[in-house]
Amino acid sequence: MNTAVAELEAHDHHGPEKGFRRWLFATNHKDIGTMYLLFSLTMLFVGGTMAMIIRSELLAPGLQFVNPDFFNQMTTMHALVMIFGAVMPAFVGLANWMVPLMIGAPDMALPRMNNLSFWILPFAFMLLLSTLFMSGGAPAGGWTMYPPLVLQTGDAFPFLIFSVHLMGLSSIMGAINIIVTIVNMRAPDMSLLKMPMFVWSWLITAYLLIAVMPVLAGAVTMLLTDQFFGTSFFLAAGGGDPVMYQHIFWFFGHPEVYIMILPAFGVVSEIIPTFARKPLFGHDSMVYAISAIAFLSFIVWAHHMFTVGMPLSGQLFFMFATMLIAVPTGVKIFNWTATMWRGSMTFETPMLFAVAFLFLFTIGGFSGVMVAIVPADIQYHDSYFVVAHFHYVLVPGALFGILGAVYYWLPKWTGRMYNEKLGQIHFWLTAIFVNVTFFPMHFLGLAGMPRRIPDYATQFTDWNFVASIGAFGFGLSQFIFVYIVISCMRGRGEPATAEVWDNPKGLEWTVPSPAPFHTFEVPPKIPAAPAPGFS
Amino acid sequence: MTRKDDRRSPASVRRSALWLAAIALAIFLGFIFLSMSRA
Repeated sequence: MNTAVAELEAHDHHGPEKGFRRWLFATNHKDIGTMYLLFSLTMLFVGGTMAMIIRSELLAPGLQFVNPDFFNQMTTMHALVMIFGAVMPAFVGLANWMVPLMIGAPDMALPRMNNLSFWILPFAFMLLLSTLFMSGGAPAGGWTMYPPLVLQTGDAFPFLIFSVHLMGLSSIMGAINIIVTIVNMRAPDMSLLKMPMFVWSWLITAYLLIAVMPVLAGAVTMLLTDQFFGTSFFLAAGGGDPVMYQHIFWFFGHPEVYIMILPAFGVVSEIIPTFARKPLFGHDSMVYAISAIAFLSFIVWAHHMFTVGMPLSGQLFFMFATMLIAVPTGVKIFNWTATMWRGSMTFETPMLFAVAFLFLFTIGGFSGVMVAIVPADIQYHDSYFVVAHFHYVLVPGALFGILGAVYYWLPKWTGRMYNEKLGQIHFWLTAIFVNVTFFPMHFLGLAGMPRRIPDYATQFTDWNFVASIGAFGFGLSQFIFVYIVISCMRGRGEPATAEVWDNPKGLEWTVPSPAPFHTFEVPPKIPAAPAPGFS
Repeated sequence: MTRKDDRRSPASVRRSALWLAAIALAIFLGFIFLSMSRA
């Protein structure tokens, strides 16, 4: 018996600590996963409130509620909060809860570092959100923090940089923990290609995080030294190059897009086989497709910068490399479709979110191919078409993945079935309003409405009104989700069985619901023959 | 101890984590030094 197993057995009789100590000193992957998910939900509403302010201002032409500078603060903070506070922590929370359960590990490999990874985040966001109350206000130069504009930020500037450093540190530590857990802590008979697709998607995502979060940290460190320590990395007057910042930022920024979507791919790959009652079609090709997408994400960054100006060879390379991503993504879409083909499908709430993901993420993918075309992008750039594109990828893409995952695993976490009828109402309202909000933005962009403006020409009035109404409906619908989650957490609803669904595959369904505080203290046996869900 | 048991040992876990942390640090410093040579 090795030391790690012996230590675990010495501790396996105690349950969670009482009171705040359980959460402050948490080292249990389930507790830390819960904290990540609740933090993410809180940030979803903070960022959502900012979105409501943005859409209220854009409800009609002219300035009605906020001044232009505050509007810019809202667009900047909305993006930072949603990306680093809502989407990324939600997926890390899902990984914390589910990866050890899915690979038969007793916990994450580095439980104390796990605690630190989480507890850094509230402080990072307190720093960031405190800038709203500073003289000069919050950062307003966009989440991309382009110099020289971002260097005009007032007192908030060092707080912005330090909070980004903290978020990066948290992400890197979280990624190290996930990789080490998957690589070192798998049940002995679980070979890499027997791993569930959610685990695979997170393994690749974690490598992406380790590769690119230090790049962002480096970029903002150089902004900091340019501002306070007399360097000229990005200052043209001192011999620096502001365009170099854009190259460095997007070398982080494009893989970041995949960091936010690959775990959603993993979630969808778990949900669809369960509700189609068929094994995932093309398991291994899914792994290769995710790997290909991850590789390609490193060689397409300059498609965010076509209007900056670059040699024709550069334009062609980045255009074709970007279009190439459609190939592995298409493999995944077709594999999910083939999984459903002739399956005995039922449409419980997680499946509804997964199917909607398929349709709506594909719309975001197609508009992505459109903006990859250089001559067309010269027109689309900085217009609402781009806003429509990335919101289709991130809301019915990443967010639907998260919502589907929560409905899928909530009975496993809480031991209670959620209210299916309310879940379906939440789904339909969300799915309808997300399209009412974001589809008109395609029309606005094609008609020439620029992004990041508080006021607009009167010909854009009608579709902005529709988008704002959709956004309000979308925001209000999410309170149904909060009610459903809180109900389950408070023990309301039918008790859930261990399997929860109709014969789902995977180790997480072999433990009782709710999952006990300690699981898999003895590694489980994995079937030797290829079995659906394990292969 | 088999190779599979060894993979789960604290020493092995620590070794894997330190390698990944070193890679992250190298990328952070590497990008700053590369930028210094350009700026």
